[in-house]
Amino acid sequence: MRWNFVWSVAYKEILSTFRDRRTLASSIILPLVMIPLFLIGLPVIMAKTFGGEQEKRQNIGIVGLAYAPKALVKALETDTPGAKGVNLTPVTDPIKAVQDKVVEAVIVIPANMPSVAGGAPVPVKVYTKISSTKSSLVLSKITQGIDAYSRALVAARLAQAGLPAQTLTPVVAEPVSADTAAEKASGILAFIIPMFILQWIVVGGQATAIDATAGEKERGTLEALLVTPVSRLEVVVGKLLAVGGFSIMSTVFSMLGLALTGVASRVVMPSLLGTTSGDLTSKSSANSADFASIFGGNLVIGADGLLQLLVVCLSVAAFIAALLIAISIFAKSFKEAQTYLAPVVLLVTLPAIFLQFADFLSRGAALYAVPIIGSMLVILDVVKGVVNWQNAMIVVGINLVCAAVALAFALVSFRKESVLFRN
Amino acid sequence: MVNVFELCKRYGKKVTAVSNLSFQAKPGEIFGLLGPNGAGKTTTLRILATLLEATSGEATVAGHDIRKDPEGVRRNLGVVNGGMGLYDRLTGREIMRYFASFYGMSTAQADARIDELAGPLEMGDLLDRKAGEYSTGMKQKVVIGRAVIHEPAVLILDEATNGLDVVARRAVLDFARAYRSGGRVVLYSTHVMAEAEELCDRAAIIDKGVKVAEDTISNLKASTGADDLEEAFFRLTRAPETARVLV
Repeated sequence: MRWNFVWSVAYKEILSTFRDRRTLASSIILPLVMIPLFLIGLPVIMAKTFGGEQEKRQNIGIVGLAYAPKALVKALETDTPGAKGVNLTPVTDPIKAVQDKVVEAVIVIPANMPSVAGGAPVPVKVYTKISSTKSSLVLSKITQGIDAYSRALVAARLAQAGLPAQTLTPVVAEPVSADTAAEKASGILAFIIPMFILQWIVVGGQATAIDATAGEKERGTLEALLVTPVSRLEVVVGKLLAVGGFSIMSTVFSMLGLALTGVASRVVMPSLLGTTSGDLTSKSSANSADFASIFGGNLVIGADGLLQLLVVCLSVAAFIAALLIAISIFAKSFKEAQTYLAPVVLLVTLPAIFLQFADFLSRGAALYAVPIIGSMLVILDVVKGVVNWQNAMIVVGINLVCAAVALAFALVSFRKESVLFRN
Repeated sequence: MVNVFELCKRYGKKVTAVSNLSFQAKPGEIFGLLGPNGAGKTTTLRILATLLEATSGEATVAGHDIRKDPEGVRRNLGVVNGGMGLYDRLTGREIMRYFASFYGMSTAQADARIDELAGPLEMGDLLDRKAGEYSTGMKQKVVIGRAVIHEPAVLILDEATNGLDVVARRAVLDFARAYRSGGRVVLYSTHVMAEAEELCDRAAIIDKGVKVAEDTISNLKASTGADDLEEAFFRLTRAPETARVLV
């Protein structure tokens, strides 16, 4: 292999890609902008909607208002710290009222509503759309109101017997976080991060891979290239270097996007979320930190982790770049190549969805040896601060083997008449 | 210079693209490969360019065997065909430098050669513009410049004037005529008989993968008693009874 030829091929692809503004934008600006936007914007929107619902007085229907004890009505209508009360409107048909969206929920007070504790429990039916997240918020408000009334009755009964209210809860369980600092910072939505990184490895290399293979066929430049003394191996390796390079570049920018998110969330989140609820500022700034955590906005990755991340990303980029080339060389045109490559994006996004259940998996070496999934697990480990070099090395090894196989496959295709001169 | 001996190319058992084709192109001549579309011209030329593998038969290009020394063949060969394009985001000069690099030429050597070619190919100032902005004619000139950047002993022009306007077509024909001097060979494949008649010293007429005749243009006409090459071509490729039906 003549490396000056290889470099010539790679340089041309790099130059050509750098002159393509749209491609550059999608591999540099998109990860820089989209990751912070997603990781900060989504929690802010969610916090605002959740907070907004809490701040609102929803209209709740009530059947049998006449039987409703005054204390219960008061418990439902009165504001509590962190949430406003509800407005009660009498209705007749609970299901219809909810389905017609006249009210968010309907409470049905039975005639035998107790005013003293001690009898058999009396169910109070609450009609609402259980499947809706918004309604579940209203449901929890109502449940809290009913619980408060129920507790008041119990407390009154206990007081009658000369007992304090704590009598019923002599022992309580108290969860204490044993997360590492990194685990705490990465949050429960950290599983999205491996998907982001892998997706940009694909997206970053895709345009160059198509341009360098199917694009050359479509423009009629491949034949001209192959009649020069350059060998097919040199051509494939040169193109692989360029495609892998752009994959890595995209990945670096997506990591920068992650880093930016960490900084930005600390600056932006409190002010964005703090203003939502006038008198509850102190509570909601605590909320914003929680929300940032949930979405990995407070990520802290050490030097060891970064190095591991880089090594894994380099190897997975080599694999994906070779795969992209091996697939797109079959296509006759840009368009066809895009169709062929669509499943590759799915290939890296689908396993990511299952990563949220990663905690339930027993993660043996075998699982790390599964291509793509192993890479995602290591990235997730790095994010969670559970750095393990042995697993990382398994993944790197597997990725390199896969890269070699894909490269060999691409080379075979580059030597096949039926692939190169498909008309 | 180009020796082809009993070349065959089959796809599977049924399709025979080229059948026992033999011809010789000598130094200093423009040799025509004439035939309708699908006659096997492009397949033959791709075999000579080592892009396709022959099923059987032998060939040498500038003394290099296409099987034993494909890289030697490619070092001494330039190929232009009608479907070749350029890299839209690179300039004509960058494209020619890129191809020059595979012949071991430095940027300075490539630039010197580009300057040499800019005159006869009338490429001028456009060389430093991106190829995506070129007209069809300018594109083809750069394609040709790229093919002869290393002054190959053998130049293949395969339907190289396809889709060109009258001016660009003239430039290509003039370039081909000039290129054969100094003992170089031009293999000129076309289905336009007028071009072949004007340009070629000798020609092989191919139909359905089989060589029908090989001679100088004037002998081809004389042997068939035709006034021009097109008529000679039809007399050679159409069986007498078909010709009568058509008349």
